[in-house]
Amino acid sequence: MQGAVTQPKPIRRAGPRRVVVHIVLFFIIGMIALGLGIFGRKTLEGQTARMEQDVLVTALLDGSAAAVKGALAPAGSDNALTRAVDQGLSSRKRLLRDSITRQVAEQADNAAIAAMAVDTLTEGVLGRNLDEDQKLALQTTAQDARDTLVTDLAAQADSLERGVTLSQVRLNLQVTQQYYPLMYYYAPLLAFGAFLLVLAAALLVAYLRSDLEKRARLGERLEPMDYLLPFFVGVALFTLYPIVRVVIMSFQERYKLEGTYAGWGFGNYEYVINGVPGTTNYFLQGLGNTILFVLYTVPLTTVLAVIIAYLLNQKLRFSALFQTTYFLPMVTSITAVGLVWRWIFNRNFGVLNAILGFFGVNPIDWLHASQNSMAVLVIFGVWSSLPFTIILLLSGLQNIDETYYTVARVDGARALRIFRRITVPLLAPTISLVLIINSISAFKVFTEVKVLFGGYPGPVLNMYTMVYYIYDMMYEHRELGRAAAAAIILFLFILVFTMLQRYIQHRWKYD
Amino acid sequence: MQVRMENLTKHFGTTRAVQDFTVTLNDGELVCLLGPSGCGKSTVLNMLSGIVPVTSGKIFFDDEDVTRLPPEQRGIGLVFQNYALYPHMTVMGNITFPLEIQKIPPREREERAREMAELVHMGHLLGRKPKQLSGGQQQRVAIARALVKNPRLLLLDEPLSNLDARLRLEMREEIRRIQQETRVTTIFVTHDQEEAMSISDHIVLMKDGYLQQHAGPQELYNQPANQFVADFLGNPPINNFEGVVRKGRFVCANGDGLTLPGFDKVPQGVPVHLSVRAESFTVEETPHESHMACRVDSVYQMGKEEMAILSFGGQPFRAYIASDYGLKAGDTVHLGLKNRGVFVFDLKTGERYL
Amino acid sequence: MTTQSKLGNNNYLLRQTLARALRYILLTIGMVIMVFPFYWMISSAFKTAPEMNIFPPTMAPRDWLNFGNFKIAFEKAPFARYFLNSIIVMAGSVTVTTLTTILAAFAFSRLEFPGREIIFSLLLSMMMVPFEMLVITNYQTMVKVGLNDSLYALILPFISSIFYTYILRNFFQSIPGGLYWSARVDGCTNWKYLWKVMVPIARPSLVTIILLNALASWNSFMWPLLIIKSDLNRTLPFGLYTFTTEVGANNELLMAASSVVVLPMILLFLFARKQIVRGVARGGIKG
Repeated sequence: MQGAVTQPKPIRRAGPRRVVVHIVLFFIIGMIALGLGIFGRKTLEGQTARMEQDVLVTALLDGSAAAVKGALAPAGSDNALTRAVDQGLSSRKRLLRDSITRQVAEQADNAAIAAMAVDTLTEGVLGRNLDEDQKLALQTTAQDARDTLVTDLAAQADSLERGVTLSQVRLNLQVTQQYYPLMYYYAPLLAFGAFLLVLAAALLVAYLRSDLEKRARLGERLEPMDYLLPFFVGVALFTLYPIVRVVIMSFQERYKLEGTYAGWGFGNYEYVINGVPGTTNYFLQGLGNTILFVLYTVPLTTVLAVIIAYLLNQKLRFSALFQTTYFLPMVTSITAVGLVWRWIFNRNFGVLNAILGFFGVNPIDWLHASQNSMAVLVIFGVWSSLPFTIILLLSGLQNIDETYYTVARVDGARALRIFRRITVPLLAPTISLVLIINSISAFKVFTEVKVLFGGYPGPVLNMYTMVYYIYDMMYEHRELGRAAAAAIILFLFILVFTMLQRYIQHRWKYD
Repeated sequence: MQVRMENLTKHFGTTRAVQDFTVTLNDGELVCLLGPSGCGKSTVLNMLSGIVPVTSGKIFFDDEDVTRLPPEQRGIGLVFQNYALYPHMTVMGNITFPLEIQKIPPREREERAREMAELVHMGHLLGRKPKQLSGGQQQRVAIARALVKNPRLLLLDEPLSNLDARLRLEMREEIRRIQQETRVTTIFVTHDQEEAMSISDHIVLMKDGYLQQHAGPQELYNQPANQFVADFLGNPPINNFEGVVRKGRFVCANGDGLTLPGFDKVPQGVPVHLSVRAESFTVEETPHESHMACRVDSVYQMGKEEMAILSFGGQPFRAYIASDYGLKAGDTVHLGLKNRGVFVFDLKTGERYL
Repeated sequence: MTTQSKLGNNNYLLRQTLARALRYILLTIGMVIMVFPFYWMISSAFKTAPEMNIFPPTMAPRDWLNFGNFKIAFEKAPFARYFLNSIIVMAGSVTVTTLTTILAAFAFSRLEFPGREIIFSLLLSMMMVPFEMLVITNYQTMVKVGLNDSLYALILPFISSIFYTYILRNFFQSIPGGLYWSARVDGCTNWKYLWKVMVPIARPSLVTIILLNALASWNSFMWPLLIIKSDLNRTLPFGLYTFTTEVGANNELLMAASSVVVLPMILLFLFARKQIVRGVARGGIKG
């Protein structure tokens, strides 16, 4: 009798223990996160002083250069003079920056620094190779203007906004600085740490206020979280957060990689859709190309795949061989395969032109003549999306009950009629599925372009695609805000197609 | 149309599905291919339809040798177990499809389809799609589709297996009615003996690829050709008593026995089954050499009758007894046997002696 | 009448045979077109430079055992290193992702917690968002955290896959719940049940997920293109791409390198064809 009761105990005990473990872990991790966050903030504040100094230095440096130039080579002077002044200024700039920096760090008076700056720069200009008359003239002008320049400059420096906000500092940090991640992300760290500590506290309270039973139950309720945690961390960081962030980013005009942006508004969208007046609008070109690509590739692939899947669906010898060869392109890297095709399309030595030559066709410049670019992309696109499409259609065909065919056969129907009136209609749901999936996939075309055209969007920048544009914005121009806007537009297109897919699948259920 | 099969045999590799099957089915009859799973009945059906090629033997429709003809040239209508209605076509579309294949003009197609639909009582649902129909309705449409091209032969493969018990009753009568109205020679396959018994003109009973007996339901029931036929038909299953007949008396292992007039015609000393249907017992007052002394094990009330489980010769058996006798467990009772429903089969070969 | 049927029969047989022949011919033509680029890749890999620069090109290299191009390619660019990187990334990515997927799929199918179905549908809707859009922020995150240009950056963003979790969860749900409850009654913990019962039963599904994951990881191009700068951290497809600038007009070197990139996946495919095909079909139909 007593022995029978011992079984359930192990489960009970695990419950409270789990709660304790969670409390401790949350506490520890929370403390760490909080600590890191605080440390990041402190370091950031330390940077503030430096940044303020930097701002001052820059103001003095640029201001003095502009002032001296304005005095010695005002607008309208001849080119030789302007050039000489510029050279003189730049010869001293680096030295000047260092001395200004030093003096600012020593908290020197702005006026003194201004004076030193103006003098150094004037010296630099006068030290240039000029003829005596010019030198004399400049010297006189400089002397006359000196006092005014210094006073103005000092006043400028004084009236400078001394306060720099924490977020400004944060956005102007160099990525290579020590502890950069902690400084940039101090706020989320703090929030996360605080959250965990609150959670730990709440759990502790609940734990202390309940008896063994309730503790066990609490433990049980916590259990799913343990299983979900790794998954959700990944999703939160790399899916959920980016989704939200990108949407917000698209409205932050001229948002850059560093994190700076000009303000809120539709500017990104305007830029993307309107482009720079006077130049090609690469986004619209990308949009057009992408849509054309989808319209050419997807129907072509589908028709071919239906035929091939139909042929493959009979009992064949060598079916393993056929399957392997038809599905091969699916498992191989587009990059590698794209390079072969690039070689095949080669105007002078490519085998495609050789085969065409066999039929009396002159060699075609596939890769460098802009009118052929789309054809190249489509041919490659169809070839590489065939395997996947065939697999899906084959699966759909195999799901069609044999007995339909038998009944029709017994009634005397021939192959063509069966195909037309039975196979295709019953395959229609799969066909529509394939159309949608391939369209969505085709909208994202990028690697193919990059590889086929040697890293450029087409021989004369004519083969931009939507994703290529996003990549371009992001990687070459570092304009993340604009990339985000383009990405949102891309997503909207895909969304429409996905909704369409769901709707069609719903409408066309036969069972 | 008369269907004649001569020495039909079908081998699948080493498996012998149908062996030396010879049967003639008359024009306009409703015939059932009956038997347990794996007896070859579906294979016979498939050979008749032409879906499965014949290993050896011949099939004749009237006088035409159709053995090598492909299905579409045999003039048959086929109804599968799962009906195989084209899900993307309406009821009308499904029924007109065979006519469409024969290139019959649309108006005539529609007319004939309507006729057929009326025949199967589906005339009001012509616009529906199969997924909107119940199981029984789907089957009606399947039958209509098979009949619309006026086939010489209608084949149905386990038509009632997919229906629930109540529908099964209704639909088997429907099948009978439709067959009577069209007078098409109809063959259907089933494993349910009650089904076969209730609506067929003739039953072809099969086991392990061999024909066991071909006769009308009553004859099959009352004059089984062998042990298997007797066992297969009848609910509850026939009672088999093991024993030996010596000197005209049937004796069981434990000594119980009885004597009946016909026993001297049975080979003596050979182990046999004395097979008696549950309804073939009479309750007697006195012991007699032609009566069985049995002990009552349990009694089930079934309204006007009782079903009793009794023992004789150490073997339990079932008998229908009128309630009037008021039998109780533990009673000893003497049972006589009627003229009908009593048989003697060889224990090993199943050959019928009496 | 018998003679008439005989003729009908012959015609029928003839039509059947013609149809079969046509089918094989068409399929073979298609097969040649599909396989040809691979053949071209490999045969060009064994050609010498002069052989490459003739028109029309030859169908086969003069010397099928000319491994010279491979040697040169490996000298010109650290393909061995690229190979190693790809393997590390693939192994790491597949391992971690599979783990998170198993745990999460288990939670979503067997464990109960409030809002389970709602959360799952939300996750499914997130699946719609293309990676090309998420890439923008993930790129920034990686840069800011300082993992830019490291192999970690190639693994981390993919540790959770909603798609694979969806597939595995579906499979888990098809395992009867009665099994679970009777195990629980016997005192089995969730953890033990998951690893001793569910995972072994789900092995085919898991194998499929692992294969698809490995494929995707090995062939991924855009993300490494963005993230990786230094040569030593490149993965194979990306390394191959940058190799094109190294190679100039010597396409035979390029073909040799491409062959090396393509070979492992082809071998994997020959090995696990049925699994991959089945997985793609199931995955495609679901999503």
